Amino acid sequence: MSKVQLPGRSVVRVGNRSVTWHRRSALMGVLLLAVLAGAVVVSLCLGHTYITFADVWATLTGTTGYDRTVEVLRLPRTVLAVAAGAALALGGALIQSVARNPLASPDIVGVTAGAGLAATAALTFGLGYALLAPAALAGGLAAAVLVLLVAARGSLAAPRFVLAGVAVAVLLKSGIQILLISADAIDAQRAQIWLIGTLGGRGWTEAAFLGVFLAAALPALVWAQRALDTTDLDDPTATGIGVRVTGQRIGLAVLGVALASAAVSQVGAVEFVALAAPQIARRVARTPRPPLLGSALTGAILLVLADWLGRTAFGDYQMPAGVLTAALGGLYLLYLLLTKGTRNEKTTGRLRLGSRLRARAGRVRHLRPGR
Amino acid sequence: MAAACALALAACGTSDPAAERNDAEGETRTIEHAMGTTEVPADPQRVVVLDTDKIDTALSLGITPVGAARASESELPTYLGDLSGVTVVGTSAEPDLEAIEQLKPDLILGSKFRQEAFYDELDAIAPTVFTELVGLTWKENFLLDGEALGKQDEAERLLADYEARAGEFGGSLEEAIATEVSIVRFMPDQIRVYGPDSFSGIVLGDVGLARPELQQLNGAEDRRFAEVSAEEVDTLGGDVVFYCAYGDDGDAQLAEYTGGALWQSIPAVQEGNAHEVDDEVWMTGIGVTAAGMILDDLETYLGA
Repeated sequence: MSKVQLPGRSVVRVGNRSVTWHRRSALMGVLLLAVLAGAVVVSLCLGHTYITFADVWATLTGTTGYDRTVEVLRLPRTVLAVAAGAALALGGALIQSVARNPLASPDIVGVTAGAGLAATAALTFGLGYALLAPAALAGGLAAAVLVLLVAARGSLAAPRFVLAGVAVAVLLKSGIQILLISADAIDAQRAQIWLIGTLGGRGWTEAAFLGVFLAAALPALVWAQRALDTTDLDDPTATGIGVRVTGQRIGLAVLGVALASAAVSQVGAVEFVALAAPQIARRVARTPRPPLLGSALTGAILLVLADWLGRTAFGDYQMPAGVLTAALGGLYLLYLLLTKGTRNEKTTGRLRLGSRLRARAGRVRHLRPGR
Repeated sequence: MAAACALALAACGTSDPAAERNDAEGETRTIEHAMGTTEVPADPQRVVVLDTDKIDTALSLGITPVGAARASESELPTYLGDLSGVTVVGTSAEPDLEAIEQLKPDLILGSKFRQEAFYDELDAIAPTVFTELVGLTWKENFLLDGEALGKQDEAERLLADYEARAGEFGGSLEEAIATEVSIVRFMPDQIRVYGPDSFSGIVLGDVGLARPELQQLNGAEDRRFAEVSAEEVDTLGGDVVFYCAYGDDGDAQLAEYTGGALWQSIPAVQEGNAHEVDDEVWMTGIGVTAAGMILDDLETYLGA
């Protein structure tokens, strides 16, 4: 058996089985987990009342004077933020990988708009509060099915998928606007808050739903991690080595939109977590496409921090988490656009402009004779 | 994630906070409201209110709330006197739960219409009583909130006094009762007239005053208000016009339109029968004190 060295990977052999893993991804997984733990601790300890970590721990394991603050007001929201952030980011990572486009997120491909239209309709037509989340879930999934149907005519080619998503999303958003304009002011205001996305007033019910959903999706996610390696190939290569790209892509896209729809139905159309988290994770781990575990952890961190900032940093005003994720995501998008001149791998800052230009010139020269 | 699920399930199993409270505290009363039945203290001392109508209610009944949520576009109302001792606990749409908890309330008043999503958390903090709606049912709301505050008799008396006063004033107007009264509100993005089911419309109805045809909103499903095109401000109608503005942007709208030629061409304006009134009283007050102050305005401008 020849000994193959994969760059950046380690191999563990047990008997005749072997597992390879990306060393940097594994290291970053541990690091991100530590950051998430830190964010959760901050979210549980800091608020109107400062509760020490020791007291939080005592509250979780027994009874202190802080039971209500921690167990009713802070913990449910924090757990929900972890679950929803992770689900959104996983959805984003899968959709971005299938579309091979860092800007393809549930916001762009219609899921958020579909859920938003259904939720706005539920709120402005006066359906009960209990029907809000199921309506949003159905709306998100319906929009996604529509996008997939349109995109699947043509082997779900990446650009077609994104374009179909954008078209459906724009259509649905105009529907939302019509509803908002014709609705009563107070209903419109409630719908606006839902559309921004907030964890206020939400808790164990929503967190449990998403937790169960994520647990059920776990086997599919393990499959997805492997399937992504092959779907990442360009179409001719994949076909050449006999991989059924279209079927796998559809599977991955369905998993992605299901995760995103589930999250959006519970916390509202929280923006940019699904877009930014996979890209941040990808840059941190320096992998060619968004790592699933890393994306989930990054998404959880983003939403926990956004929710915590929103409920503590603005005086008596409770800033919906979606405002902050959108602000953070907007800044991130600018960064992405400003630094994406090169092959959008990490920019060390050491790289001189001259050498970048030379590298680019080299690529251009390399391309010319072939085409 | 498995841990999160386990936590979620474990927490679902914790006992009912309302049940625990009963053992811990003294005398209680049972209130039936929009979210079920709740045991409230016999004589609540630390009350948090989550909407403007309930600020009016509490103060009308002689109880200064420890905390109150404000409307999203404005601060706490000023017509109720000095509220500097009242802590602002977020907005009606997004109440600040931790701030409410810190006040250690023994009763929370809100509405299902606005705060349904927050009920479980609120009820874990203190006994929480919700009315179904805000506005249209303000008299029923006042009686329910009065009952929750332990002042049912006083609430009934205040409401009866108000209705008697409105009726007497209507009677004293004699033929002037046929005066058509117009209510206009400048919002940041539109101009509205208010119909018979709005708060101030209900007060005018209690007096028995006439309304311009267009503002009766006959046949409309929602008879609280209707939008008026800025180009048709002169078609408002009414022998007397009361107008007000919501928020700073509304004030800007008001200044712009009332300075314009179209507004100046309205007969009531030309005859000096257009009067600017307090938005907090006529629109967001929605309580018996605000209703009394609307009667004050009517007596000032319509009384002999």
